Amino acid sequence: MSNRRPKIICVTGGKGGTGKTLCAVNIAIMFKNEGYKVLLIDGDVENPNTYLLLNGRLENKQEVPFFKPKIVEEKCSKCGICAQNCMPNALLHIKGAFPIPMLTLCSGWRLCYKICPENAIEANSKTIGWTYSTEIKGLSLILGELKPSEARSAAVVEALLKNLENVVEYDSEKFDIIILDTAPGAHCDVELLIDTADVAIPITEPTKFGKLDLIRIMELITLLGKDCRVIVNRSSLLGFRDQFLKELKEENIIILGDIPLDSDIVNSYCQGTPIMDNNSGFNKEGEGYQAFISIFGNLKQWLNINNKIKVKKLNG
Amino acid sequence: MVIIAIPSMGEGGLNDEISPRFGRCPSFTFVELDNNEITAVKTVPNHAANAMGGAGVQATQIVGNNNAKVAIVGFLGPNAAMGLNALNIKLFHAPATRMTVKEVLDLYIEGKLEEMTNSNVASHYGMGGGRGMGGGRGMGGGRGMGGGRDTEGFNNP
Amino acid sequence: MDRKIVGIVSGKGGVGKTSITASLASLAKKDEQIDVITVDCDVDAPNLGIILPAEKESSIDTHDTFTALKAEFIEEKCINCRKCIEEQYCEFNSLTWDNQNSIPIVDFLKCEGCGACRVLCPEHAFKINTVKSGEIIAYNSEMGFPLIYGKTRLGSTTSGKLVSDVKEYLKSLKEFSQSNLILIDGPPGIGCPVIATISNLDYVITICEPTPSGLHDLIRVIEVIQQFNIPFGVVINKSDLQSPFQDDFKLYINETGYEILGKIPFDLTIPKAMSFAKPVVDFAADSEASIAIKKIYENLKYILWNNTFR
Repeated sequence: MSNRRPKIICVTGGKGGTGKTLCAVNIAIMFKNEGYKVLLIDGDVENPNTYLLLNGRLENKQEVPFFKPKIVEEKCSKCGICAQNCMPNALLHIKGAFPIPMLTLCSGWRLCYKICPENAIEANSKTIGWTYSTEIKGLSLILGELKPSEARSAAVVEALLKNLENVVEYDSEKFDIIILDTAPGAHCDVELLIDTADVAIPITEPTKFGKLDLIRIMELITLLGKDCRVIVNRSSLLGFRDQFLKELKEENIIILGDIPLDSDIVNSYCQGTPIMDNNSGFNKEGEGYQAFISIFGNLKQWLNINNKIKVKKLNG
Repeated sequence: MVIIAIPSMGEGGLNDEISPRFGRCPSFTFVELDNNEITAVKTVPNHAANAMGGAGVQATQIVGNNNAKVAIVGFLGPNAAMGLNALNIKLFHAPATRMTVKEVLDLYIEGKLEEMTNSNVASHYGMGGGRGMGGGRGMGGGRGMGGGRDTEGFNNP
Repeated sequence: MDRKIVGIVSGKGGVGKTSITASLASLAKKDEQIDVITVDCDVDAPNLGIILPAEKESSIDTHDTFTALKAEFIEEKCINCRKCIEEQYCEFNSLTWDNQNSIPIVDFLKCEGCGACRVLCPEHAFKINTVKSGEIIAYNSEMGFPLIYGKTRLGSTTSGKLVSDVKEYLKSLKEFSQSNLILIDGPPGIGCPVIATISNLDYVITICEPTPSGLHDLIRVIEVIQQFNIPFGVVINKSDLQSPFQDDFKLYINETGYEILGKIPFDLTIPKAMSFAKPVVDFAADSEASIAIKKIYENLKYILWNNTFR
């Protein structure tokens, strides 16, 4: 089967701190354990944390450029068409003068560059962030980082997705599974990642906040036309589990499983050793560990991923 | 000879009240001074007052297009400050009391106004640091088929 | 006492911004010297209203905001030349070609409303409309002080703008002129909604937890706060969390010399209080968490109005 597309799974959640990164990393590790080639993309570019949970280093730093217009005075006729059409008013123009770029207002839409009748605007760039790539614990990891004080995180996410596109176009068989970790919230950078994926897995917690934000992120996922199944993390919090799972069932929300509070998970998180890594040394009978195993089984069933691929590989 | 821009509250003119806001003041009064004598007065409505965003820049353009070299302002947002500085328009701070255009002009002529170089409030729209309309992507170079007109030069991992 | 506007941010999500904001507001309400207003600027996932609900449904005021721009295709003007696709007018891939009808389709969610298609199309077959970007909701809370929050309409891509609109709306409240403390519950992250939240504030409280990602994200949000030259203090939540990272965390915090407003020990009364939709300082006034938060409140007052750091 050539030109087989990798399965792309987006791990998201709406509410912050529910355990998106924890789940994204461990799901990636579980696929790796079974011989799949996995790419993990950290799309939480405002606070990329995946490498911390993997005890990894950031390598292969690449700048992410952001459009910055430059007025070429020799060509500029001072007509002001660029400024007139710039909706964010990022070009200041008074009659008889060259337009002045107001860079902090520029949204990077490049309309000025496209419509200048004299081609007098050059597309320069400034650095808005960076992407990194590395191999760690048998995973390929690509990570994006927004430069603090820059506002447009979605631009860095776009760079990551461009990276991904290049990889998949160049060699669609390079990876079997691609996992996208998103930021909390539901704004444009999260939207981009959900839209790229085949399916979404929101991570929630058994609280009122968790439920409200879950419903909101699921609205976005539905709007984007993606299928999703939920993971409830920290399910044993204060005995809320049964009630919460019941509520989800009543709303016809399907879950892949739930993960109880487990000190092994906390330790693995702080040590930078994913709990599900084959070499992690954590107790395989532990509640958290078993919860992940169960979730993984349900995930594979949901996505019709079976061991056929792995078997093919073993046979050469 | 110098032209001075003063934001005004009504339709403008020497007897109109000064407006504490710049970007969204209802009108501008332009006063031409020659040897500290008023030689001309012009009023211009401020169409930026109702703009959805970017009022600071648009108002700055009005001031610049009317050849003002000095502006007397109360509250000034960062975008307007950036623009006025870029146009080398000198800024003086109007006191926070109600007064007419003529009264603040007299204070200026008497040298009683303080110069200002920076904004003294956050912008009312956009993100405070003058970062524009918020959200938005636009890294430059579309995704999908074809790619944009510039090169990003990423290596594959 | 002159008015102070304080923001609560964290970088990392889920470290307790909303819970702590609600408790600080409750303490402020009981403080005779203070007239408090609360604002929820986490416009993508506003939750403060869960712990601080409205006094009555009828007092809830909702305003739609219309600050998002989206393109609209005008079919009558189209001559099917396909230039919009061939020449890639759209930077955001929101234009695709409908082969059956030979016309472009605008993807509402992806469209940024930049106006390129409107300007570039030779037949003027696109226009830009303002569309609903979200809502600003205001009410008098059960506790007796006003609460305002913003909520984005999904897909409108203007979170930062809505945050600015919410802060602007605050000033139009009749209680604003009387108030002397505004507490703003901020969004997670460091991007545009956070920048919009902290701009022009008098003080920022940054909350963190003693984990590697908690520390990493704290450092990043502090970098942003410092760029804006706003004074800030750190609150360490779950401060006694048993983990192998604890010592490294303590070491780092001591070395940086950041102002520590307070430390809240790991205490299950916080999520318990939240499940009853109550601030922890009311639900369990004698709990360790409540005692710690009261200390934080006193420190905050001291810093805001005595202009000195302890």
